Amino acid sequence: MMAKMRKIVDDINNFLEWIESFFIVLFIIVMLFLSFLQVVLRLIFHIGFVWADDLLRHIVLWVGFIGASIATKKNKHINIDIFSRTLPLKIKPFFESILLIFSSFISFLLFLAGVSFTKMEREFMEMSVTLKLPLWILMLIIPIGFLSMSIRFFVNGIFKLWEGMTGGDKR
Amino acid sequence: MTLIVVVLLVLFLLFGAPLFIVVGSAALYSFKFGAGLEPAIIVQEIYKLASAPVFVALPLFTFAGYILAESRAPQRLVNISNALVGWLPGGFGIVAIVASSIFTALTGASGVTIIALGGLLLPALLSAKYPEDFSLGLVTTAGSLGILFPPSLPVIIYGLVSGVSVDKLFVAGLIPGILVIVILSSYSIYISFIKGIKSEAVSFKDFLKALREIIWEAPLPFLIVIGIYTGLFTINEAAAVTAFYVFVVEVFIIRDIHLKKIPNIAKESMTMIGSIIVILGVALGFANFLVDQQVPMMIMNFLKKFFHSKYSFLLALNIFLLIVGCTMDIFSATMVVVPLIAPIGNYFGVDPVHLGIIFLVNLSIGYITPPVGTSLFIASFRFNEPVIKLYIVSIPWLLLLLLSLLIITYYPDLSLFLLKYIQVR
Repeated sequence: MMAKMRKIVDDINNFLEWIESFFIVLFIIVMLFLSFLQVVLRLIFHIGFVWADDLLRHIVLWVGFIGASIATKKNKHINIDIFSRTLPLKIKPFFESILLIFSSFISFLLFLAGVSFTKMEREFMEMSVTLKLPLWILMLIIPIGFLSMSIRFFVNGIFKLWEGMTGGDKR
Repeated sequence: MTLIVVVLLVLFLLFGAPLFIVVGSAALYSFKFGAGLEPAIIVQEIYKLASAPVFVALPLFTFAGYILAESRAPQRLVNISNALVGWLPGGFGIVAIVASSIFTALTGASGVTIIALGGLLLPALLSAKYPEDFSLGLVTTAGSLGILFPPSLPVIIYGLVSGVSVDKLFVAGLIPGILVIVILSSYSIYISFIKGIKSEAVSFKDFLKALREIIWEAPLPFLIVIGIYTGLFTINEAAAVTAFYVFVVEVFIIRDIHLKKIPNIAKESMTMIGSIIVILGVALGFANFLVDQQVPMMIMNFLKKFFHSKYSFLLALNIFLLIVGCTMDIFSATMVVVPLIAPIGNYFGVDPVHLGIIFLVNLSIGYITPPVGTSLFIASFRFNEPVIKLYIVSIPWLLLLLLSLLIITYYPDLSLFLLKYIQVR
C-alpha cells in the first residue's frame, strides 16, 4: 500500500523536477547570453539595455529558489552534520524524519510570510520601472519556492518515518 | 523559553537540519517574540538580496566552475604547471600547490579541488618519489589554497554579507594568497632536498604540447585578474564573460563536454546556488534583528572586559574562527558569523578589508583542522584512507598554514598596501 503510494508520489515529484530543470536550463541560457551581450555592448558601443540588469537579478532569484526546491527533494541543503553519524542505524530514520517534518513546518511559516509580503506589495502596486511589470509578480517565486520546499520536506519526512518503521532500506 | 528554543535549534543544527531552516526558525522566532515585527520583513530581506551588487555573479561563476570541473581542464592545468615550474627543486610539489590554488579560485569550492585534482596529483606525486605522508597531506590541503584569488566564490559572498567592496577584497588578498603559496612551496623544496628528489625538466617539445592543449583556457585567469584589477570589468561582468567563455570553449571548441550534459550541470550548480541563496536570505533577515537589538554592541561590551588591545582581540578571533571553520563550511560560516564579527572588528580598529582576509584565510584553514574539518573527510573518502591517518599527515601543512595566518593577521600592510597603488571601486 505504502510502497504503491510512494511510487505515485515519486513519479509526480520527478515530473515536477523535470519541469524545474527545464526552467533552470532556460534561465541559465538567457543569463549566459544576455549578461555577455551586455558586457560587449558596454565595452564596444558604450550602450546597453536598461532592463537587462533588473531582469538578470530577478532571473537569479527565480533560479535560486527553483534550485533550493530541487535541493530539498534531493536532501542537498547545506547543513552542519556532526552528530548524526554517531546515531545507531535503527533510530537514525526517526531522527531524520523529525528534522524533516520540522523543516516542513518552518518552510510553511516562511511561505506564509512570503504570501503576506507579496500581498502587501500587490496593494502598493509598485512597478519595476525598467521591466514594466508589477514587483509582486516578480516576487512570486519566494512564496512558491517555500511552499514547494515545505511539501517536499513533508513528503521526505513521511517516507523516512515509514522506512524507520519497516526497515525500508532493504528495498 | 528563549533558552529552550536556542538549545533545541542548536541540537537540530548539529544533527543535520538544513542551516537555512535553523537560521530561518531563529529569525521567525525573534521577529515574532523578540521584536514584535511582521515575519514578512524576513521575506523583504530575501527580496532585497536580489539588488546586492554582486548577486548575478554567484550563479555565473558557479556554473563556469562546475563545467570546468567536469571537463579535462584539471589534467591540462597540471600538465602546464608541470612544464612551467616542474623543473624547480621540489618541483612537482609546487606544481600541485599552484594548480590547486588556481583550480580552487576558479571553481570556488574546496571539495571539488580535492576530488577533481587530487586524483591526478596524488599518483603523480608518488611516482615522482615524494613520500606518501607528504603527498597525502598536500592533496588534502589542496582545497584550502587559492581561496583569496579572483574569482573565488567565498570572497564574493563575504563582500555580499559584509558590504565590503569585493574588488578591494580581491586586491587585498593577492599578496597574502601568494604568501601562502610561497610558504608551502618552501616546505616542498625542503622535503625534496632531504629526500634527494631530483626534479625533471620538461622538454621544450612537451612544454609546447602542454601549452597547445591549454591554449583555450589559459587566457581565462589573466582575463579575470586583469579585468578586475584594472577596473575594466565589474565582478558581475567578469562572471558573465567567464561563464560565457567557458561554456563556448568547453562545449563547442574543445568539446570536452557534450551539450547533452549541460542540463545536468546546470541543475547541479543551481541546486548549490539555491541552497546558498536561501541561507543568505534568512541570515540577512536574522542579522537585521540582531543589529536592531544591538546584539553586536552587547557582545562588544562583554569582550571589552577581556581584550584591551587590537592584538589580543585578533588572537581570540583567530582561535574562534578556527573552531568555526572546522565545524561549518565557508559559505555558512560567512553568512552566520560575519554580521556579528564585522562591527566588533570595527570597534577594535581592524580595517574591514583586512578583517575579511583574516576571516577567509582562517576559515580555509578550518577545512583541514581536526577533528571535523571537511577536507579531511572528503580526502578520506576520495583516497580511501582512514581519517586518522589524514589528521596526522596534514599536521605539517596545518602548522605552515597557521604560520601564514599569523603573518597575515599581525601584519595588516601585507593585505592593505596594494590598495594604495591599485584604485578599485
